[in-house]
Amino acid sequence: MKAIRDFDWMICLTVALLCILGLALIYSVFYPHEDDTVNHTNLLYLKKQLLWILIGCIAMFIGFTIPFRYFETLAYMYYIICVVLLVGVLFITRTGQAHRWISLGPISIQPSEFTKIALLFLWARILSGYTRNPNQLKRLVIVLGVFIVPFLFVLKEPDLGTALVFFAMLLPVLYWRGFRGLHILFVLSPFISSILLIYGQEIAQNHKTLPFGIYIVLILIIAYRRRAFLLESLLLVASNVGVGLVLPGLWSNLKEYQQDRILNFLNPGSDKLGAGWQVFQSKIAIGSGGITGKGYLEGTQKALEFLPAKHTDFVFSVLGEELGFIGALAILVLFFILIYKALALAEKSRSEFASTVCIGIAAYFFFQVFINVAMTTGIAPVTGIPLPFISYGGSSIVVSFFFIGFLLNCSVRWFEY
Amino acid sequence: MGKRASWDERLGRTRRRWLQAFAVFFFLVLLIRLFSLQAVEHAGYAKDAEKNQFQRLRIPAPRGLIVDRNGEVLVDNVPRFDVVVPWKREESALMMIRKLSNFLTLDSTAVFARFDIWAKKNAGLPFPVVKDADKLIISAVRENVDLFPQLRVETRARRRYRKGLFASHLLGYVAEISDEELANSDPRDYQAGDVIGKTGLELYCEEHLHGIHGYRVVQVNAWGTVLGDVDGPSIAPRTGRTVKLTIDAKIQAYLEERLAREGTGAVVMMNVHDGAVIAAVSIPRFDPNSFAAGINQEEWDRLHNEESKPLFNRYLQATYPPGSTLKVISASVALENELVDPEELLVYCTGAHRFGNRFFKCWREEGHGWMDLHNAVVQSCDSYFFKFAETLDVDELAEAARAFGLGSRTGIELRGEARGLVPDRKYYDNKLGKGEWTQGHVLNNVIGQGEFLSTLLQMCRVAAVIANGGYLVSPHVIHSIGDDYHVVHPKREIGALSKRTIQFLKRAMRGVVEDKDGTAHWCRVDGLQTAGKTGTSQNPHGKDHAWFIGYAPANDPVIAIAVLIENAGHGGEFAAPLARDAYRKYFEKQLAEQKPPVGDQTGLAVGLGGRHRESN
Repeated sequence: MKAIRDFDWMICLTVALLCILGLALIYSVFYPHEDDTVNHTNLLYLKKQLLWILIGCIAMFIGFTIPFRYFETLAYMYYIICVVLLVGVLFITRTGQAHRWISLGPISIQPSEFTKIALLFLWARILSGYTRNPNQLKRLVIVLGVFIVPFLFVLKEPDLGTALVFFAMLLPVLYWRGFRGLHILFVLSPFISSILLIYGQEIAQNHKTLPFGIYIVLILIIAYRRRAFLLESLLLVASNVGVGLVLPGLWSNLKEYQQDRILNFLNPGSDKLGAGWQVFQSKIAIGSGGITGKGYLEGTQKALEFLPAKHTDFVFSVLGEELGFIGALAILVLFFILIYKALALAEKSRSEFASTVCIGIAAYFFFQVFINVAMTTGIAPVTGIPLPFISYGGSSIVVSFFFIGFLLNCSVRWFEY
Repeated sequence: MGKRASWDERLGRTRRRWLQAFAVFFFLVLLIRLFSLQAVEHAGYAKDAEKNQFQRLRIPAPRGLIVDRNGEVLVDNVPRFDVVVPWKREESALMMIRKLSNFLTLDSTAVFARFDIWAKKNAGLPFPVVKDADKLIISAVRENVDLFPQLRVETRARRRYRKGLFASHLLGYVAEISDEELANSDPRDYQAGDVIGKTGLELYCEEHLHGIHGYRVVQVNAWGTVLGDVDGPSIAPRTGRTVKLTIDAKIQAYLEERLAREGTGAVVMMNVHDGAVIAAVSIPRFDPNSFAAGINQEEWDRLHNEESKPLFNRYLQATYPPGSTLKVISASVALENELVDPEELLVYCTGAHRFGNRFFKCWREEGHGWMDLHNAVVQSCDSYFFKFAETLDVDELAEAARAFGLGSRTGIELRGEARGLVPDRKYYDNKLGKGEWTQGHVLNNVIGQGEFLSTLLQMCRVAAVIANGGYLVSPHVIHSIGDDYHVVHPKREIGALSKRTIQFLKRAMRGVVEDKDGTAHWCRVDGLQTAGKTGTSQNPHGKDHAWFIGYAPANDPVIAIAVLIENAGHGGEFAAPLARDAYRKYFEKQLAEQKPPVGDQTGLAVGLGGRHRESN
């Protein structure tokens, strides 16, 4: 009885709203343009999306009904199945496409999506328990080993976006299990150094080393304040200074087209006719939407095929164009509710396993939404990350629904250990 | 248990708050970004979206026609088909071009090279892959729409010069606009790849012939494919205006063929009363069509390097010593300034004239005997003119020559007209130094041999001035442009030319043809009294140039003519017959009415009698 009372209807409502919005957008994307005679696909996509949502609901039901200790027990097995599928997908060739999908009859699935679940469960299992402190080197090596195998396979597909999501989910999980902030900084800071250096090299003409200099000063201050952990602090400083010494040489050794590729990745708006064309058109769509949008079904950018991947990765551009700032705000609020709920459940749940998984779920939604919206508005690289519940596409929806099922599971079994 | 829970709880709360703050912060970043795109920069993106969606397509205005005085069309337009690729991104355009050039087996390197230039100058404008495509290519493209959905076949107008070589110097030609011209023009009028008048009337009348382009607004998709017209502003093109010439195509064509048989040279025929040019011929000619179709390097080099200079306009840009044709002006100076008594037998010509310690030779070595002014003009006796030039002031001659229009442009509607040269005291002082030149120069000038230089157009006008009784007309070739007839062609009376002088000159020029001693006597036309003056101008580079100026009919002049044949020899022998044939052609109808067509004695005599060696 207690369980029924604690069931979180708010999460259900939020997801329902997101799904309805997603269906409406898919319908709009394939809404036949008046001068376009070839398009009969709008209802087809709508039906397929509906089917995926139904399958997602089954996944949600599974995630909701099965007590999470079973998930904990089965984590290794599930992980191994996923890795095998990831290896398998590399051997399935499709002409001109990345090796991402496995066909199962009429539908095709992306094992990399399901690997997100497997990773979360396994990390949570490895790190839960009083003594299982991620600050212990042995624990950390196991967690990183679990992470690195699927990470490399997914990179090989190649699917940089999903690989980055794995990484983005790992850090909050480690943090939640007590991993020290200094360590997280140690992992992240060399990347930040590199980006600052490249930006300085190519964009800030007169102050090449200024951003990096400021950053190093910040690092030094942090290292000094954490001087109690002497070894870690020294390593932190050394790794950043090392990057600063080595990277400029490496950079100048790259061919010009290689440099261009990296710069276009970091600053997608820069090349309007080449790689940045998609982003440029997406910005036009969103910007031209204004505060209230052009009206549902009235978008011109999507109707005239200016938007690339407009029903999958760039569906947010259609939303921005047709529903404007208000629509975009609504979507962000809905997603924030989900993230907030996941964080609250993580705090509330007594099971360390469940609480860790909830953190991972929050990180998953946060990172997917942030990168997707940032990509369509031109402030993040184009990596092909879908918007949960909204973007057309099967595996992503099923996984998102499963996570929702798990959250609901936690909301009724929060007291279980 | 409780201890662990409390530790976990405390730590859990802080960490959850940190994570929550992290999420809030980055969502706020997104919101700020969205706000800046959708509210702050909204107007710019809205405009971009519109630009994406709508495209103004130009409807090119057809170029105006050029017709002759009888309305016969000389220059018009024919449709030309270009296969064009609309493009926005270079990669997609290159892919399309590669596919297409494989399909049509084009020389892909050449097309890519052309595209490179095009892309630099006109980013985003549809690129013409195949210019002036033939039927085969067009049907190949049309039948494979599914392979090349983006390709468009665009109709453009190609300039057609109907008669090929005909009047090429006068009509000029069009060719693709140069970068420089493009930079100096209004982008609404010209785009890269357009044609523009380069020489002749095509250049002079460019603004009238060009017309005003129309526009229509179309909706396009991301690949530049036109989805359809959009209701709203569209402007119909305005065809360029028709330029009607004073040229008579029949006479022009006849004279071109006639002169081409003789060699290089030029002929100008004009109306003596208003200066309307009836024919203007320069030989050799070129074919303007080869420029309009896009000339290749070989042809270009040939036209520019050939010794006969086919692009050089010989009645407009070339200057020649006028030779004895100048004697009509010299004679008028003698009469007006009363330097001689026309009745007096001034000189006994022995074939040479002694001045100081120099001998000036008359063209006729055996001499002319006793000469008065009339006979001196009719027989073109140099000695007579040398004699009176002994006391002639150089500026008096120069002044008269200028009054007849030498030394300045006639103002005809063609670019590149030469001025010629009228030597006067200042000229000699500058060139040779004060006191360093002698009256001997004047003796040479008076027979048109010294430093005098004139164009054929100027000399034709000299004949017209005498024919019309002393009025300096403005030569022109444009009759009207569109409906605009109000073109003023000023006509000025030469003040210092008395009726008596004109009467004398007319009689003398008639004598040149009609008197049996006249230098052009054997070029008479039966049933038509004509007048003229022959000339032979010495040419340091080769044989003499043959000159003839004249007008007809002698009693009531209608047309004036000037003929020059380069390196031919004596004017009476080579140039005058051409003028005779021109008269016959022009007065064909009148002559046919006067007498039955059989037994044309003169024509027969000329045909059989061969060429007299006696002329100048």
